[in-house]
Amino acid sequence: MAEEGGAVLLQCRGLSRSFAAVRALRGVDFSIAAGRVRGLVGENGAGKSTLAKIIAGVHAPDAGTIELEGRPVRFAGAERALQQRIVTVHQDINLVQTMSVSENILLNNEPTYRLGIIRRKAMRAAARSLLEKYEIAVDPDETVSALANDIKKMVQIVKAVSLEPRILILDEPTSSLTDSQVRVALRLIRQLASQGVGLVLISHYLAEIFEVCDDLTVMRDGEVVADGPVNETTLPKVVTQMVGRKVETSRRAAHVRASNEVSPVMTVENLSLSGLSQNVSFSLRRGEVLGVTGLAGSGLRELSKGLFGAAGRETSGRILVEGVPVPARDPAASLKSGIALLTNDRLGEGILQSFTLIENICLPILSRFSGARGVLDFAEMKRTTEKNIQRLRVNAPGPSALARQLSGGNQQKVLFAKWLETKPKIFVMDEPTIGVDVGAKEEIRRIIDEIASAGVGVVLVTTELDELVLLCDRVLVMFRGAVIGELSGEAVNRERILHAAACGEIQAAAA
Amino acid sequence: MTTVSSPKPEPLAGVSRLFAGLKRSYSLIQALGVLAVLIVAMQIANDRFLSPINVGNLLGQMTIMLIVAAGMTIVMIAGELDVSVGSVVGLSAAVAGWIMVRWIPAPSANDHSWWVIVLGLVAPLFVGPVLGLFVGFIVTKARIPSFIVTLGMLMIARSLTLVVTQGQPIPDIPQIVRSFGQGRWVQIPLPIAFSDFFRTSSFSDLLVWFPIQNIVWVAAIVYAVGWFVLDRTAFGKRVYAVGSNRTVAILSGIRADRIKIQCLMIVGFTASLAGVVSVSRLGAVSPNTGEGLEFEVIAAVVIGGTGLYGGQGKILRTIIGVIIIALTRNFLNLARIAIFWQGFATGAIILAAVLLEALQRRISERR
Repeated sequence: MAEEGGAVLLQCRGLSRSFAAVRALRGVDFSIAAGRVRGLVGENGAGKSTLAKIIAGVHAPDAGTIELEGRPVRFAGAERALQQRIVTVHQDINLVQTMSVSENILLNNEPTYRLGIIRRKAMRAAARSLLEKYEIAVDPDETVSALANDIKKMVQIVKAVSLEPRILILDEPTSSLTDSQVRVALRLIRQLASQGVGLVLISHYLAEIFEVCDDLTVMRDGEVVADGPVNETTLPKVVTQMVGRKVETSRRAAHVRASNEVSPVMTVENLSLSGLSQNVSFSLRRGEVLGVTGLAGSGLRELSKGLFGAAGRETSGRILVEGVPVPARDPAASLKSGIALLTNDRLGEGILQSFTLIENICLPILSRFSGARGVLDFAEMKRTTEKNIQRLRVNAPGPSALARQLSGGNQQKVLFAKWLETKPKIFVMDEPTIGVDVGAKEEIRRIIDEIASAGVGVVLVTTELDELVLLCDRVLVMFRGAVIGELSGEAVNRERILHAAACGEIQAAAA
Repeated sequence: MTTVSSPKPEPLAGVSRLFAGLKRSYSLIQALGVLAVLIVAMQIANDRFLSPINVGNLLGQMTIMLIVAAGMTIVMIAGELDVSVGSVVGLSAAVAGWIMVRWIPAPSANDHSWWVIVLGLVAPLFVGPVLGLFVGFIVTKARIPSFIVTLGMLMIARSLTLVVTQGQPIPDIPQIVRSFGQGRWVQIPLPIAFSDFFRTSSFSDLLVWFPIQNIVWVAAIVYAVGWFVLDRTAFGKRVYAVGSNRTVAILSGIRADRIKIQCLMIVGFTASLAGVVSVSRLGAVSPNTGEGLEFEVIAAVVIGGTGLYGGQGKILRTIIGVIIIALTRNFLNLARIAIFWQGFATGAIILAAVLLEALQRRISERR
């Protein structure tokens, strides 16, 4: 494999690893060569991060061997891998925001006098020489929080480089960057390769992979499905390898069921908010499921919040429900207009763990249960909750159970009940099946289908291809903060969606 | 898939339900237990402790703290903190005294026009809510922690108290006001005659018809209303939701900022009410009325089981917290322990209570 670059640095054979009942890796072979960049791609859950974590010593493999420069190794913990100079740059920017660039780069690695007193001059000089070497124009004394995102990412990479890695694993280094910032990052990656470092680049952005990598490994369901030099494969081929051969017609799109009403239930005009690079406009009909998808960080979170008026102060543009404008930036008003939002952060923004199911479900509609003197009608609240527990088949000890007693899938159903009780005309759901088990996933998808069939307009924001294909009439694809296009009818299939989300362009009609 | 087991028919369902109920009220039982132990220990150490005179003093001293602690519980459930209450008690008392005594000097303490008295009782009740509204706006609009904002208010209100009183006590509060605050118009039977009980072993000798101070009834009304609002109204549910998770509340259409402002106004009102009550109880206003009260009140609320992070707590349990703090202070007085040690004892109790709560939380999380 490393026919032109340097020697093979690391060779894994037959790596397997299970978590509980899930087999995350099944007999994976993987190699890293000096001076070459190896791309590692696959859908969420394909096993990429498990593989990276085994190489970095975070997880131990259940089976298989790892050879470092021909000698078998076993890492007991991440420090041991670090000692062998195997370094990982994580997706999140984990720098100390209040410290300077030089303090961050040499954190826990500071040049000191005796008694641990830091040699400030030496530290600054070391940081400066590193920054100059990689042509990063930043003052080592600058505080990190004052830097732009791309520079922060560069500093994070330089910090990793300061450990003089033999192997450097980069996990989604460009997902938080804008287009021009990506160029800088890719240049840095090539520069490191030219110095003989063996690099692994994990990324969803296939175009970047093809631009910067020498070799490519494609994973699916814990196995390596393709492995070889990048110039021997093509982007469409990789997409096909990633999605595999699964049933891929949209059941909904197949029999067009959305009513042919002319007037939309919701119209979004030039919605603009921080996190989006372009204004968003679309309309939604009654009974329609509109999918919105894209890679992590492409603006999905922001858009779903924005549709509910919960995206912060910089929101502008108009949202109309049945032709009537919704007051901007006011979740309470959005709710009153008939919009409901299920956020993707069930624990942080959805369920109240120490509250009962009654309290969780009735929270947005408390005034409905307030009598003339403001006394809550507990009996009625309980009846409403019981009705929903039955209808959505929530597995719970009873309406007065605390939310924390329920499994994730059942908590999610409770949130569905909560929002359905507000009698929404438009239901925006952000990753409705995130973190729930397979059975609950099926049930929730059935519920979503029922909601749409009852005439509610559904905006389904999700990164799960299966969900889009199964449920959506149309799909909007986002890329780096902009809606780049719409897929409908036959085009709602896994390959077309993945291609659009990963490459930032809608393919011409199926070849 | 789903982890909750389906309810099985159990022969001992009643027993297990009883146990579940006990478990749920475990912390309440525990707090009452601590209180009982404290009372018994104090009575054994000093047999004057449960004498009618001492119990009367105790109830009177407790009332101010009780009233303020009710509002503090609400504001802490909403996830905020008000450290200005002591000064607001002082300022409200000063305003009441100023209106009734200094504004239109009366020839004697029994010779005020009725409307001056009414105004002197009612006007101060607006002091706390107005300051609370102001604090609330800064807290919610500028997003500054309420601790800092009310710390500023603590100093401002204390300074205003000195301005209003001119740094001098205001004596000679109208007789009718004093007679309410110092009166005991209703009697109830209390089980406090231990010495008789031990002599005769007859339960009827244990009870004493005890005249309760009028101001204690004021506190009782405050707690009845507070419990009703928190437990039985939509507003109460919203307070808990906002304190538990502000984002969830906002996304549920609750105007979280408005709720927080309202809670800060409520605690202001209870502080003002406590100020007026203290005027009627003492028959005079001192420029340092309420000084240091805020921390005793917060301690009482925390000992009563209301967390510092909002979203949980029960107003009636705050009563237990107040009693524990007041008892300790009273006992140290009775035992003639130097006043210098009183802060030490109160502080130790607070730390013990908070540690106990943290320990329990960690245990229940592990389970």
